[in-house]
Amino acid sequence: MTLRITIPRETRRASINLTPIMDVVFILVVFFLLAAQFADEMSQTLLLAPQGDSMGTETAAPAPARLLVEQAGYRLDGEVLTAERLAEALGALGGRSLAVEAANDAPYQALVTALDAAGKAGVGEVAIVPARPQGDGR
Amino acid sequence: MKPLRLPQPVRETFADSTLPLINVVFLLLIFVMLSGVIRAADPVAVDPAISTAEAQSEEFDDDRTLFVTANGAVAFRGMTDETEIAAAMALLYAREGWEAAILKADRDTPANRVVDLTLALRRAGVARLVMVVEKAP
Repeated sequence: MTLRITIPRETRRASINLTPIMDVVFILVVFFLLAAQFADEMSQTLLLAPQGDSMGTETAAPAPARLLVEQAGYRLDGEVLTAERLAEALGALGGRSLAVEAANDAPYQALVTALDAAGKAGVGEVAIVPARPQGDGR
Repeated sequence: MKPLRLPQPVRETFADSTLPLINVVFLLLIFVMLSGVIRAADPVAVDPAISTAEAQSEEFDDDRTLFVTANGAVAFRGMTDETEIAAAMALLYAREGWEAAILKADRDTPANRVVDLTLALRRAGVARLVMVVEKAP
């Protein structure tokens, strides 16, 4: 009697060693992670009023509303506003132009936020004016 | 009777276990390549202010950009002196017909510093200023 045993043959597929390609791809990933910048940049255009007059040439137009940018909030014509209420107040300005002024301790971010709000509220003309000395009646 | 033990074939597991990993890493590579932008680093460290305005993403020419760091230091084409920069920017603005000068200031820069710079640029003859801001996430 013969004993028949079939041993499955080891199936050896032709395989490429993938380790080197992995190394390269990993290095590529690390390179792109380090070199790429993910911040999305855009622009905010500001028209600088002509020389001399800080508010430009419109003399017949109503006096511009004055927005003072402070560290903690905003002051529109003397009225204290939070960032949330700013857009609403600016929307109520109607056709008046806006003169934006920054307090000494205000960061640039607060100024950009104010310009954003003015843009969203549809304020026609926005000018950045130099800060007046503190304590001039407001 | 004792069972006959036959040698089991050794299975090749190497390729099977690394293939998914390679797929993931390739996807990661493609994601990073698509979502990031390769550009030269700023000459000085600047974290631009964040804006919620809806505008298109843009790329800005570093050669036309005035950088302002958080402590108020300025940089433009390797120059760091403010009056020199204002003069150079105004000259280039007029001569090369720029439609706008570009200002990239750090979000923590004192706002008054930026205001003073814009006034200096205006005095030098720049009428249109583009402020570089970062799109809010």
